[in-house]
Amino acid sequence: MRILLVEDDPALAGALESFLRTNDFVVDVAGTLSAAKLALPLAEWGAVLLDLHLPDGDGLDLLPVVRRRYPDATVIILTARDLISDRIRGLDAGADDYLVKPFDPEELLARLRAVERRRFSGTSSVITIGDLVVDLARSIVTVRGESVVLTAKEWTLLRVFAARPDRVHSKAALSSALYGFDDDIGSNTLEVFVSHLRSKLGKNCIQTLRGQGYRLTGEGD
Amino acid sequence: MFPRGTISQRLTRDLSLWLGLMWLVMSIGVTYYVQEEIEEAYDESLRTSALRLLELATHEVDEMPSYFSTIPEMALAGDMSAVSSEHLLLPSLTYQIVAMSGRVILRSKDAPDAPMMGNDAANGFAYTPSWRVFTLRHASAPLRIHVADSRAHRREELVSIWIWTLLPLLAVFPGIAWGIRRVTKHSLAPVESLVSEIAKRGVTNMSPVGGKGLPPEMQMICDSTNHLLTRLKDALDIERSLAANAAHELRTPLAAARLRLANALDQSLPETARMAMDEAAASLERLARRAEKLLQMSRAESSASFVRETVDLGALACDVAEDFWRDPEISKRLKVQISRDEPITTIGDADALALALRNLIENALRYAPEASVKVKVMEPATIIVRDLGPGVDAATLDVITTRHVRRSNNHGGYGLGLSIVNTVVDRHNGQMRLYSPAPGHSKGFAVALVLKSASDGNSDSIGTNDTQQGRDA
Repeated sequence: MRILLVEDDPALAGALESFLRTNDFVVDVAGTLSAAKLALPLAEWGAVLLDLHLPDGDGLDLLPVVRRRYPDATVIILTARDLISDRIRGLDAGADDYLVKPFDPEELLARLRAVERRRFSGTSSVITIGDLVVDLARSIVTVRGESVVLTAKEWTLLRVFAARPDRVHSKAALSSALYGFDDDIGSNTLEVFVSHLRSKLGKNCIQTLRGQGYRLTGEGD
Repeated sequence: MFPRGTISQRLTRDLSLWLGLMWLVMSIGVTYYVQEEIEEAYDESLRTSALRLLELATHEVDEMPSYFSTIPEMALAGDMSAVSSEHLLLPSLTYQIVAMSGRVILRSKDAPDAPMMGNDAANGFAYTPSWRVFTLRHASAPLRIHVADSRAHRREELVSIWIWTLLPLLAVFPGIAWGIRRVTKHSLAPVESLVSEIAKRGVTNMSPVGGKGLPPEMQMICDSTNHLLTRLKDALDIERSLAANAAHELRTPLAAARLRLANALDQSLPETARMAMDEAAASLERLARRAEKLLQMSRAESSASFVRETVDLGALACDVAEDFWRDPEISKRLKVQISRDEPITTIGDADALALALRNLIENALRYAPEASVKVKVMEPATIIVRDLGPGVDAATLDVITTRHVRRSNNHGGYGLGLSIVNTVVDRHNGQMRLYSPAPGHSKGFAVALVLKSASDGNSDSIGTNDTQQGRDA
């Protein structure tokens, strides 16, 4: 997988480049925002590692450009800014992940491998969350080894949850994933599907965070 | 201590008092002067009256010698007064005509029966307790005359003059006070506008104060304040960029070093070299974490970076927890619970509060390995982080918020976590309460951050450094 590393600190860029090369990634380094913009059309990038503190601007400015050109590319922000507002800003701008320097190299590697798996096997990846094992490609979910049958809408919901088990999914986001804009949605339809999922997967498997949304914990009963 | 009240109030009060006092002194002076003049005029009239009366009286006595000689003197005094008054046509005058023997042979109605002065009285003015008397002896006849004014009457005159000089003051005094108040208020209006302008200045607004048309004295204050603001702004800018740059400058090389070490560890190395590299990697990780805590501490204590905005504590708890949930192991242990659907809000700095919460969760995960950790957001503006680990004893609970004191020595940590939390909570005028065992449990440790509810509106009632302790609840 080809990775574009946008980092202005030569020591870190060098270290990261050789670390990623050792781990069999193809890496190109851009030291500035403008260099990164020039490099973007030159190859099919699987992932962009993006520093925010760049000499000629904010790294976040690159995100829309990447998104337009490579909708499937994964963007991981690598930054020294550790404030929660920076992280939210980065994720809201469309980044897939956010690692604060000095990040654990193994953690970065794990994320990149996950990206690689997703890219090379389509969406077929098997995600384990607590007691749940979700095989997205084959649409099979098991709870402690026992297979559970879900309806299409329940699958849609579970996919959203399983794609980001670390996130709290807002009711609005889940509703829009369940329905198109024109569908007539009852006010508590989402709650009905969540309660169906709970009865099939275990009552604690989806946690309600009042006022915020739901989160998949994967706990059985 | 300065006197109480605004400058305008003080000026109004003091100026009015001074003006009143001056007027009083002036009226006393005027009264004194007028009294002197009046006394002189009265005395002069006494003297001329005495001269004329004595002449007239002598003439009458000459015309009616038999009258005076035959009628008993005691009876005469009563009757003669009427006669003499008509004859002498001096109804307002108080006088006595006294024979050499000391008998009053003629007197006005209001004059006393007995002579006002003794036989030895000399010509001229004298005071008796109730009269001002002018005595004049007849040049040839054995007669003398006492012409007198009532001293009480003169006093009354004086008092009435005094009152009439004072009365206008009483009448115009409210007007004067009102006028002074108006003038001072008008003159001090630039002060008030300057004060309100300065009050608007803060971390987010450091623009110069004042403008055109200020009086010179005010302009000086304005210039000094602007000078101070500029220097303050410079200092804050330096602090801000230091905080931001320090993070960048420290973290970037640390990241590079960790990557280089990770890279080296991937090579085939002799066993001794690998052990040394492992040690180096561990040291580097400790260094990274320590630097992290110091950066957090400096941010918590930095005056530059705090903002005041409405923070949804439920959303904050979720945002902070999401960072931890990326680790599947922690995802199982860490739970967030929010007590209601409507936002639970406080006024403060979301980043600083997130920092505090992050430290509490890190502590709980570290000191209660494998135990569950719960973050509870509840009203009013309270976040509780509770673990069901071993907890601490009462003595440790007492000293635990002090910097560099750890909950136990077995789990790494740098003893900065809780003091960072305490600093952040202090600066939000909130309280940090520690409980061990956790309320409602026989073990564990809980930290409650009680913040100011956004709907409260007041943020100044709770004192700082108010760390409460609980045993169980």
